Amino acid sequence: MDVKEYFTILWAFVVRDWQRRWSYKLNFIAMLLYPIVWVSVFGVLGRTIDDAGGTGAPGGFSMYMVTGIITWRFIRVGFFDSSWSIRWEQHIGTFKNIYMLPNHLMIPVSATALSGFTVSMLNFVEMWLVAELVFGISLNMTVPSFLFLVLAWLSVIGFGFAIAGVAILYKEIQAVFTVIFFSFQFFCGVFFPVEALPRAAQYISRAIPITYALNGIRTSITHGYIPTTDLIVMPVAGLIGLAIGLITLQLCLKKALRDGKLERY
Amino acid sequence: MQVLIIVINVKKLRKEFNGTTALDGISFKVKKGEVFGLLGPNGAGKTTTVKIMSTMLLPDGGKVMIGGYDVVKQPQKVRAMVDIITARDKFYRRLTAYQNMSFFSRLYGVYDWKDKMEDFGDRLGLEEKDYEKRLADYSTGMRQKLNLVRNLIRDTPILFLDEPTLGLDPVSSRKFRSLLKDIMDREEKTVIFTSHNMFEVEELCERIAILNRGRITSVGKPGALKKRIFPKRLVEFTMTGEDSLNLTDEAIDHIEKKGNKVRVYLEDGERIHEVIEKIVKSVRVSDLSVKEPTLEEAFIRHTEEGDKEREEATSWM
Repeated sequence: MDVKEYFTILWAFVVRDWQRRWSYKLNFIAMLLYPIVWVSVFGVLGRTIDDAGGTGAPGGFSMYMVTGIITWRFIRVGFFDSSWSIRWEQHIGTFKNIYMLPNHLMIPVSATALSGFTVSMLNFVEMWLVAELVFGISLNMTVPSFLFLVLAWLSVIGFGFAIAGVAILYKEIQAVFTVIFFSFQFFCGVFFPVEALPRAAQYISRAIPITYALNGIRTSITHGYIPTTDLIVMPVAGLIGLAIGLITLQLCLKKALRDGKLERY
Repeated sequence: MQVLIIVINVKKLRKEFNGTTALDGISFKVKKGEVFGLLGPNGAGKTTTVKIMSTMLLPDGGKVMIGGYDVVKQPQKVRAMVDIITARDKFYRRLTAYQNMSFFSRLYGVYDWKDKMEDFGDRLGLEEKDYEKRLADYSTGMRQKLNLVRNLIRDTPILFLDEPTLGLDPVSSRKFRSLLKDIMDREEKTVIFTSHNMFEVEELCERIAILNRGRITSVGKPGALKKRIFPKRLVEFTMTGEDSLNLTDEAIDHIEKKGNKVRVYLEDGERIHEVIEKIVKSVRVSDLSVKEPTLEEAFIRHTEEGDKEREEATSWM
């Protein structure tokens, strides 16, 4: 398959997903409003805490909260769109038609992740505008900080591929991973600094790449540079995640092919 | 001299699910351009066979070659050559037929899909206004037509039709079969057709394999298969006179008489003319007709006999 063919397929998935989103008009509006409401709630909360004396976070706590939820939203969409891709096709019954193509299954999975990326980008712009225009929080997003945000997204989609593979065999695993993923909000410093956690919990925080993504984004916005540790950890975590994702997907696919569970849902 | 190319070669194919044998070493070959039927009751192993041939399931043993490629070792090469249509196939319900077809065509690398869709759709009785409708508003019959259009746009040389008319009403089912026949005649595709519906298989397939409990019990042309596995013929007539029927012939299996209606069962059709001659010489008759068993009768008898033999063989266990 040549590059043009590959991008045509990726683009077909992106177009399909946007057509599907648009077909549910109320959901589409909700999808646009949700990040605005989200950033408003935490923007007001942050400002209230700042007015009450603040927490000493650089740029103020409202800045801390807004950068946290923007990054979290980016990562969350990347993770869930890639991990749901196969299961969703199986559920609605179109999986067979996609699987029957001569292409590797990674293409539809990565295409769905890319489609999610376009949603993340839209939400990111919305949240950025609301933060700037409504709350006067100046997010000094430079090109390196934006690229680091994309790197954060890339670092989780590999793990998304792994879950996509496991979900072929055990559909309930999705619920388990959803709980685990949302627990990262507690551990990774989305709403409050990692240092506020008990010491034992901080060890867990340091083992999760999302912690470094959040720290890198915040530092790049408030201080104009990305810490070296974060710059090293993120690509390494992304590569490890991708390797785990590809191997897991391949193994699960093989087992599903043996057990006859590929189409069954 | 015409060279017959074998495009599907299934050798001693085996598959088990949790200790239950789904396929017990089946073998068959299909020639290029042939329409081959897999006929069997529910659970016979038809869908399992098709799933293995289309690389959606790994076999436990045996070998399947499609167009010269091994389904286990070269699945991507096989997938480039085959497509599968089932009654369970779905589209994106919230998207229109155009949007669905645009998506799938891009995946297939077909860029002039719109013209092809309208051309094939027209042949299958879909109208232009149908293409603007969402799939959620399509009937089962329309969806199956669009499913066939999707395959024709992709244009693979080998097509697996796994009980494609399941869930269709008899009228839609008949129309769909006639469309399939038309397409098969024009496109020269190699087709594997699975069904438990005898009429469909008899109407569409050039050769049939009867599959029961994971084994192929007979392979052949529909007519020959009927003769081989259920060779009986039936002569029916009404006696119009008062004469008593006194009929003997080595070909006669038995005679049934109800009032003046008579049914003469023959072992085979070879001496049918002689028997009819004896009947008309012996008594005065009207409404004389000769009936052949349908493939359905042949199939039921064949599978029942197979099951009975199997039960008898294992009854001591």
